[in-house]
Amino acid sequence: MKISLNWLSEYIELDDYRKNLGELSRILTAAGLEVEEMVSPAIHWNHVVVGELLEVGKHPDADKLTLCQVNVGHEKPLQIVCGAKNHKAGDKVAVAQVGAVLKGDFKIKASQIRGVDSFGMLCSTDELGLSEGSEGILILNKDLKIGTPLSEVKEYSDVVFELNVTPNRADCLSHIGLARELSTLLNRKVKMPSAELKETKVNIDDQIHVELKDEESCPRYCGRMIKGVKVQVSPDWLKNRIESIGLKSINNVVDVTNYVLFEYGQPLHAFDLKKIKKQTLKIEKAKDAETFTTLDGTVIQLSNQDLVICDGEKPVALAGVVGGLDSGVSVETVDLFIESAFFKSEGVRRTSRAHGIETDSCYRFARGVDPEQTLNALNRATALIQSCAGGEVQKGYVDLYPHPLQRKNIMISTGQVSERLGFTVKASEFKSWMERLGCRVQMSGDQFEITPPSFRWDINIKEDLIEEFARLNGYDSLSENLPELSQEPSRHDSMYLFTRRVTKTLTGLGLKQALNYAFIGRLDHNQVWQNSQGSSFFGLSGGERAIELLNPISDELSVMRESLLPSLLKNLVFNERHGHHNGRLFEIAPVSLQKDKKFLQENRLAFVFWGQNATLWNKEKKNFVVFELKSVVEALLTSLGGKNWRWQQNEVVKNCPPGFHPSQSASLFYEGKNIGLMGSLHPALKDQLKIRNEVAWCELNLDSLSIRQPRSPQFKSLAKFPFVERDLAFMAPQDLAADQILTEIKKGAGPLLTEIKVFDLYQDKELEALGRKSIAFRLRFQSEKETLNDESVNQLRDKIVNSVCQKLGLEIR
Amino acid sequence: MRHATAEWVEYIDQITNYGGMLVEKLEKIKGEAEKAILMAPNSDDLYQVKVQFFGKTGSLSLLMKELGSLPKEERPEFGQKLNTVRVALDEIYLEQERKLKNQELNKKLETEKLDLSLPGPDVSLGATHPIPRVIDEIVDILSRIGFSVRSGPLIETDHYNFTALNIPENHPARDMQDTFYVEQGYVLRTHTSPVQIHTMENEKPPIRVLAPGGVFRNDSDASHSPNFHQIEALLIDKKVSMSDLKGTISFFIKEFFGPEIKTRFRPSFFPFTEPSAEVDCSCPLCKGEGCKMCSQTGWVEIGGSGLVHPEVLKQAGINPEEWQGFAFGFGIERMAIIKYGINDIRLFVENDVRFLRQFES
Repeated sequence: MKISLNWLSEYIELDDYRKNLGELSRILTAAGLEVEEMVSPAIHWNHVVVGELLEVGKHPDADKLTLCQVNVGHEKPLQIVCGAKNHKAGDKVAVAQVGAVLKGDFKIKASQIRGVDSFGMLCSTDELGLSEGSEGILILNKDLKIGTPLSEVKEYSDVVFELNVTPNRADCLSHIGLARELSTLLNRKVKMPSAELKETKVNIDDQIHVELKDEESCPRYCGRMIKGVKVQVSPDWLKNRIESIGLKSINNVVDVTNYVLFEYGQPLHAFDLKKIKKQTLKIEKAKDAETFTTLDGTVIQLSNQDLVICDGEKPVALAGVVGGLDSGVSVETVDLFIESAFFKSEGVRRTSRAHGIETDSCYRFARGVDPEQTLNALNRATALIQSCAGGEVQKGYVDLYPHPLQRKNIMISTGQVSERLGFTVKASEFKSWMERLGCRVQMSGDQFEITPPSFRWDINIKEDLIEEFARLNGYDSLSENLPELSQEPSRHDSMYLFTRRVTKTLTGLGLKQALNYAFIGRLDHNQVWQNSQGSSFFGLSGGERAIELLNPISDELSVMRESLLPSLLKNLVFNERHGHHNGRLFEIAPVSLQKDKKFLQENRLAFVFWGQNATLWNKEKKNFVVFELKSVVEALLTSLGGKNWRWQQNEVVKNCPPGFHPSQSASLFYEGKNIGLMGSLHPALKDQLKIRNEVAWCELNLDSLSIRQPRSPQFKSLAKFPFVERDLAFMAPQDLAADQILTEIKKGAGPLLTEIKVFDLYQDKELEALGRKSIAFRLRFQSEKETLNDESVNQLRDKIVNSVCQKLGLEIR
Repeated sequence: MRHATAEWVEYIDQITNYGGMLVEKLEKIKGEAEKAILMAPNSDDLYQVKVQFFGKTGSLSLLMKELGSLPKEERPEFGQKLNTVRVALDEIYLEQERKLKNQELNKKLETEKLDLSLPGPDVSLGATHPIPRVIDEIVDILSRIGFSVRSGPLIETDHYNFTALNIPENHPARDMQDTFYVEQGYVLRTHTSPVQIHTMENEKPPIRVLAPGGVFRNDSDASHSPNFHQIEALLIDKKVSMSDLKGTISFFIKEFFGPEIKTRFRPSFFPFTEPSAEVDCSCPLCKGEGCKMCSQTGWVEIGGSGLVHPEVLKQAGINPEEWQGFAFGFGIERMAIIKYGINDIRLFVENDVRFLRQFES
């Protein structure tokens, strides 16, 4: 909210802070009212002084320019050429002399304009930074002393604060409210504005009947009547005040109601009395499905939850939220009924939300206004309207306040305050601050009974008072203490620890960790998985459908992700576009799924590898990226103490999702359970996204992977006897998986086989034509009991060869 | 036959002066061997020389065998001679071998030169993303004073995200957070604070927990991300005070940013704490001198804190007369921005390899 220092100064003495605005800002911020910005146009007013126009003549060589002689208090007047039209001899003006540097680094220099010397500039409000766009130059108040620096003239050198008022501090949403807060902080008095009115002899009660039918929603309703006003442009002082806090001046009546809103924090509404039917106003709940047209012409349908002000026929205002189109003030209005009320915050907020209407009025009612200022604000507004728009104030006022609001007393002891703040609080100190705050205080020893002021709706329990005391006493005076540990620390969440362990292993393997938004575009998922169920064939839970946000930022961020791969694909495309032709990324995050009307989360681990890893300067053979990925996954499984796993390639083909290459993908079975899918990116998708490098990716179910973790290593005695190696090369059908041969070899070999590796895969044109390949294994045999002799190993080898060749129909090479 | 006769005659000659003949032979072999050793161009040839003279069937060894055919009395003298020659040749041989080996080593050293200005093969370093990295670092610091990690779901009920945290419906505090709605009654959590409630419901005090994780706000611009991260700390114990809170945060900040960094509290408002405080620390970048990061103020805002509101304790089934608590929450992105000097929040989710590489160290 914007606060004008000049306006604020009407209620509290602050002149001593004008030269030290930083300190004022610090005091407010330290009290919880954060000053976000301070705008002071006068900081650009070096060499800008008050001048008097001695002569205003025509420029000899230009019809549109004037040639002015300006007295700025020097011996000789300054000659200045000016292009404005609104000035005349005798006017006081703001003169930017040579040397001035105005807003936007606008340097004023001695110059010649159409052959005539000019020694400065007569300033407009725009050039002074007081407004955006202006016509003509600023004509100053006649009483100002010639030669005075303009920055020293209070009425022009205002400072505007942008104050961040937290929702609990509704009492500071006005200039008087802030003055009151400063009076507490600085221990100064608040000067309340006067409200002098001249009333006619005709009683208001004889002219309108106001009926409060819903006291629960509207504890207090006040009104006054003014007849014969002239709605027109506001006087300068009012217009300036309204504009200083960033509002638009509309007319004298509307401006006054806004002025009082920002002065007292009390929202007001002015009705055009002639439009009020049957001289009746009723404060009541609307009828269901009743329609109402707001000030701006929007037609809304009301419900019986909405509080309205009705005339004899229909609603004329949505209580505390917005006025009606028909009954508002217009240029033709002559008679007014001014409303000042206390509407309960819950109701105003409900109505405001239900109809999506936000106004300065409902903003304040929703946070709580002061029920004891309702009438004062009304009188102030009435007096100002009378002075700005004329008219006759009818005798008396409406004030329906059947049950004055009482604040509950709060019982508190300084012992409690001390305990919560961690230092000893003296009863006298506590009492003094509570009183300065405007509380009614009853004290007995260190026991207090405190009644909070009517404008502080946020103070209800003793903790609120503790905060008030701490805040006013200064948070800087809090000491620092490390609380003692009163019990054994508990264990970390196991998934947190597991995630950390996996991250450590993967980064150790040279991978970079990625992090993405939890929401993606609607189509991103299907591009990879076909639909929400697409991943469920591979041990990755699928939802019934994507979880949609009701109010997404954009289509690209509109559904919760059910897989990490779509995000990683985006990362890959982004990186390739930036010229990174290889990358090894992984991400660990939960995905969100919808099942049986429930929202579930599953933790996932996903990888994307693209491009060849940079090699040595002498060119090495290229590797398949998907094999590199496979090795990384297996290294991870090993690091987790994983016991057995296998890659299943055949079954993938049936349900192969569109993001995966059907002949280069395999699902992973880990300790008997399907936990994910790995493969090369489908070439069609690769083309579609214009990806140039080879891509492999994988997604695993981290929850499944975390079963029985952590596992600690189990030591096994080191072998005492040497090992013996034998190589076997088979001629096999081209599409026979190496895994099948391996399995058969293991079966045939028994426990003496301790290690087996594929060390050569060979195929030339001749073999290709035959549909065969040669695949060679290196077998390592070792016994825990003895040194194996060649003969027994050879026998075992022959046995393996026989069984493998027989079962799989292979030939040994 | 004539030939044979000539050999026979020679043989007769020999045996008549057998001793003298052997000496002569020895001298001859000595001369030849010396020459061969010194002439050997490299260590391989030198070795051949060794075999030729000293080997099993080498000439010196053969001569040795002939020793037996000398008359007994002549044997010691000749044996000594033979030995002297042997020792002398051995010396020459070793000297020559040393010389050749040395030459060869020098040559090898010269020819095996590697240009070590050439790069080695790339060894890829891994990198933890700065967000989990900051989270882990915070967890490590606060674990030391007894806090342990808890987690909660991203999609929360309205109850856990708001109501249980003393933010009833139609309360203006709901405007403080732009909420993403999933469906009636469900939201994307706007803060990690719901984990406080889950913990208090599931565990008995005293409690010291941390809840790191992703949160969501419907707000996206140069300085706001719709999905960012927070870490929440909750302590429930007896007689908890604002000075306990400030002491804990101050310890944390010194550990995280450096021992010279100061902590400042500013009054603020959060519906779930009372008293509430905004937490600032002296700017770690300029050490409080004033810079762009801290908008010349010397202080940077890092999070919110306060004593747990009694209403929140009650809602979670904890008696506020017996137990109190404090809670604080920090924005992880904010911490990373301050700690590493990152200047654009979009970098956190673009996963630009150039960005991630900066976290290899």
